[in-house]
Amino acid sequence: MITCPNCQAENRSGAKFCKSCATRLPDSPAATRPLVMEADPQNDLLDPQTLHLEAQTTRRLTQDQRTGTKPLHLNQAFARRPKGAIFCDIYLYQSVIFSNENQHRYQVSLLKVSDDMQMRVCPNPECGAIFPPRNATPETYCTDCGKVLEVGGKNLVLVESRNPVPDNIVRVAAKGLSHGSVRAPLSAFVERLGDIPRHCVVLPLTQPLDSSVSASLEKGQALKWGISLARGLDYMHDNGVSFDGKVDQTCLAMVGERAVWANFSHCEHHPTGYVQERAVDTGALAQLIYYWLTGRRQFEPDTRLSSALNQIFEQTFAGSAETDGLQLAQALESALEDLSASQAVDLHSGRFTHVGMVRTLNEDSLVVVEMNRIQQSISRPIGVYVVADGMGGHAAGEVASGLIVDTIANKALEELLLPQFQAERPALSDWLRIAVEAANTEVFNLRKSAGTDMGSTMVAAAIIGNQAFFTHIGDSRIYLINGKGIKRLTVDHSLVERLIATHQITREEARYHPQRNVIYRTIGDKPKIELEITSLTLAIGDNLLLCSDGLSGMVEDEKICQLVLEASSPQAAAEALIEAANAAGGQDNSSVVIVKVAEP
Amino acid sequence: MDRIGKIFGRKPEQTASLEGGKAEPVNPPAVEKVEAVHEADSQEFFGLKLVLDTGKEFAFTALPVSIGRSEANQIVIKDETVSSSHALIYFDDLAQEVCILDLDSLNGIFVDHAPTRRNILSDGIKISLGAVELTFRDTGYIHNHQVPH
Repeated sequence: MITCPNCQAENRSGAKFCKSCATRLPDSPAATRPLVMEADPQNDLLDPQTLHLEAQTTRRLTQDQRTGTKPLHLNQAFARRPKGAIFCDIYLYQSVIFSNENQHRYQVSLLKVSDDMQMRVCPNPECGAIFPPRNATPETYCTDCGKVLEVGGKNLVLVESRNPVPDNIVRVAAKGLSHGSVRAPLSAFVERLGDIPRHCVVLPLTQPLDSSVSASLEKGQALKWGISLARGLDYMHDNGVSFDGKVDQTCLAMVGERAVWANFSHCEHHPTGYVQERAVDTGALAQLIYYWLTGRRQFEPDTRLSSALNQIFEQTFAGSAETDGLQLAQALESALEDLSASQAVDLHSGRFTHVGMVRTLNEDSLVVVEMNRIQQSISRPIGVYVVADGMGGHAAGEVASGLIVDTIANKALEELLLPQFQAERPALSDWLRIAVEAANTEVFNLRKSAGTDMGSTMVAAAIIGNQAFFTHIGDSRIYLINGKGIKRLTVDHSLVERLIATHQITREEARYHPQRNVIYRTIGDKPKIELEITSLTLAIGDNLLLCSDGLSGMVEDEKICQLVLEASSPQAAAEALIEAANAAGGQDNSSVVIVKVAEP
Repeated sequence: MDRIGKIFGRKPEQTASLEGGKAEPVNPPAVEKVEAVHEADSQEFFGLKLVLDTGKEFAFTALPVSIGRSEANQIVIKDETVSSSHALIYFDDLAQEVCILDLDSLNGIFVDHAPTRRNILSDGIKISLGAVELTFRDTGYIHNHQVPH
């Protein structure tokens, strides 16, 4: 269990975000992982037979009440069910996927059960974790990516067979694994049709993984699959499920364009609720990823792979690796960063800020830290961009926002730009998190000692090559603008965005909502900040726009898009945007940074 | 604990006992004795009807309706392959439809010749109870009180 530092809710092991308040939960690095047993008396220690649920909702008739009825043995044929069948009281037949004399697969949907019994799904297409009702307090947020969960259960698969469901599948179903790259069984039950038992398992809908797809994976795609599968494996280990080294493509299935863990027939259940020995599974997964990358089942150093990656695979094949899923994921992530950094792009940026037409003090701050090294005509740009919108009035807001940009700029120089020449740079997503956390600590400490109510919203992006990582706090935003139009990449930490997310108001109503300025997350408010780091692969022609609410509150998205695309340079675009904000009234300070991705 | 919670292996509150896996038997919905089952005498009848192979009709305007061999049922079918208390036609709150439920009969129930336990009924569907086949007719939405006038 991980106890949320913010709301004290108990989250299951491996959760990244709190299920009740979306607070980023502390990572538990392998070295400090507790060795305490997290056995669940409701699941891990019970005899599996007691978990086999008989879907018995009507009173079973005694033999006496049946006497005199002549048996017809109509059910021996194990025929499939008709249209309109309701399984186990709650799953409604939609269609037949597959059928033979021993097994039927149906597509089913969950009927409208009461709210606390709903199955919830993460709407994030890169996550999609499923949360069957397992606890007395249902999850509100995805524990894997922090998004607000939605009601789901419309697309499920029900497998009905003559033979009993294996104990390990029943155990996994009873656990209810909820992770972006895990599609575990959701429930298992037995239903009797005229005295013949039918053994059923309900699964999330996935597509089979065709070996021709995995054989023709691009390198970047193979690394991405590997990263999410390695994280999912670590989550399963945290929850007492392992594969005993039997990890291969048959364990996987497709959801959209990616592979997920979906076949648990080889899985092992650990009664302690925690897997200690992780290297065997992790090694087997690494060998599978190596096969996707190189097409080889035996290890040979591959010059197309980085030396760090070669080292991991070499140790794996030699059986001497001591890695767990998280370490494998991190190694693959830095390999992916290096891969995309070698994509030849150049970054051009422009920035501008203005006090606006109403106020006298500009509390916004911004910083641009860039380096572009070109060698043998290969461009490897790296850049850090921050816009901070301070709050708290004179000697507070501008101090807070200035401190944020200074702290992040300092860390960028010391930890990103200088080490860039020594190839010992930390993974960019980790760095961004640490830098923003450091900025928050600085502002929090200053606020305490100064005794003011200073604070700041902030948006920050770190880019290497065409790989961007960004994060935000409060209502400062980041937009992606290209030939296809404008797309907002951040969701404000504001009251109105929550109301929109829960369908209480529309986006149009939000523009005029009396409390549209209320934000619930700021830099400097709490000693520990909750961060969502998002990654994005940029293409030539993309523009990233970082701005304070002085722009986004005054100028419509379509107008922003038009001004950026029509401008002759990023700097001209930045100035045109601020001019538009002032022309619309200039109610607040406005600041923008624009990064244009160009051909080198 | 709610029976749906059990289907998902939902954990009871901490005070609950450890025997979480077994479903408690739930009694079938109380069957009100309705006087509504009668032989249809008019072509303009709105409601639900079950038509036997023999042409005999059972019409009813209230739910639930129990079917079986014993006299305690609202629809009594004297056939030795039909259990004494065989099936129940009722309005299902979750599906918001008229459904049939097998009351754990020996020979089970079949809808359009496929075996089932709980099933949504729609007009024209064939229901088999043992060796007896009935046709279900829905002519008027009595179950949600939208009787056309």
